[in-house]
Amino acid sequence: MSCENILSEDSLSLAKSLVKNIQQKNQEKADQILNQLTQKDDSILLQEIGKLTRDLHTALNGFSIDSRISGVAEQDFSDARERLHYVISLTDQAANTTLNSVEEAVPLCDQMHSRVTEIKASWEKFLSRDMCAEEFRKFSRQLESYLQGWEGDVVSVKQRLNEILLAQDFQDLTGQVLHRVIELVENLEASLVGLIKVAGKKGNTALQQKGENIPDIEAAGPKVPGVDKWKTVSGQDEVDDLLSSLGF
Amino acid sequence: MKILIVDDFSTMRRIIKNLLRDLGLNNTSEADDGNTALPMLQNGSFDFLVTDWNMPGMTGIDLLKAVRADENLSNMPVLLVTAEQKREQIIEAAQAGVNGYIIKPFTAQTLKEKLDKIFERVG
Repeated sequence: MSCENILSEDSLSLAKSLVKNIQQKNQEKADQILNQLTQKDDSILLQEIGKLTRDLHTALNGFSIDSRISGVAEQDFSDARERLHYVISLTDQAANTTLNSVEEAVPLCDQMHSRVTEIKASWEKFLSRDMCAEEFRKFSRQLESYLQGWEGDVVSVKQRLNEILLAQDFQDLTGQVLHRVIELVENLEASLVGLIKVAGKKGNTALQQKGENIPDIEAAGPKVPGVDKWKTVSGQDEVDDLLSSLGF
Repeated sequence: MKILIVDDFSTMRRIIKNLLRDLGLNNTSEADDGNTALPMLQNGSFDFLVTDWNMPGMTGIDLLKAVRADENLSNMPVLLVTAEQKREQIIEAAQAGVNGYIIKPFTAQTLKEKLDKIFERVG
């Protein structure tokens, strides 16, 4: 029943009576009716406040029993934070591996380049028959030593390039972790939509609870240290041991 | 030898492709999930499959099962290269008939060892 309806029923006769008493200059009676009307307004106001309080209480209860929302607040935010930290750490690691390899490979390339320049100058001197026997012996020894050095240097540069190549796996690993965070944000969005529904429509407070456990076989991406609690093997060696125990 | 590399991340496909090239295996093709890979395998006379597990569309484990279920492909050696490392998953892959299982991140040496082992066994 709305406030308007209450006013239109009982109050109208009281108001008419009030007007009548004022016209008849019956002050005492008029005051009495006025008091009655004011008290009535107070009681309507109290009823409305009571109703609002109950609505608020229901909505608040709705918040607390929605495990998805409390889950998002208590666990998923911290989970997402840890995952993003893990992404930072993997990208940091990859960047440092790449930079270290470049910093090691560049001086090797510089050294190879300066030695080639040196040998080239001597070689031109040799071709133009402008080299004495002593200079030729020195050139031969130099060439032999440089050739040996280059063999090792080229292998070293190739190793560094391979390290750079493998460091790029961070993109795949962080990509999988970021997909999980996106999923989490989408869940949060769904929870907030649910929350709005709860707040806007009392009585409909239960939202479907999301399954917490990822089935053992379902793909879950890289295990993020400190976040993912599921049990994994410790490394490639354990994979190999497990497979050989299965007859591989 | 014709090899199909399946991973949803192009960087990982390139890493594997480069590592295989380093081992003298130059004839590679790429696919980004099982749904794309399966018709390629069925039509492409591939000798070897290297696949990730966690991919949108068809996952690597489902691709492995589909390969084993296809009479023309059932004997193809399959190597899983994945970040999935739960014991149950490794057992599942073994039961589905995987020939090798490498967990990411991995080294060039690990890839070489597993390939040697697979081809030594397959002959």
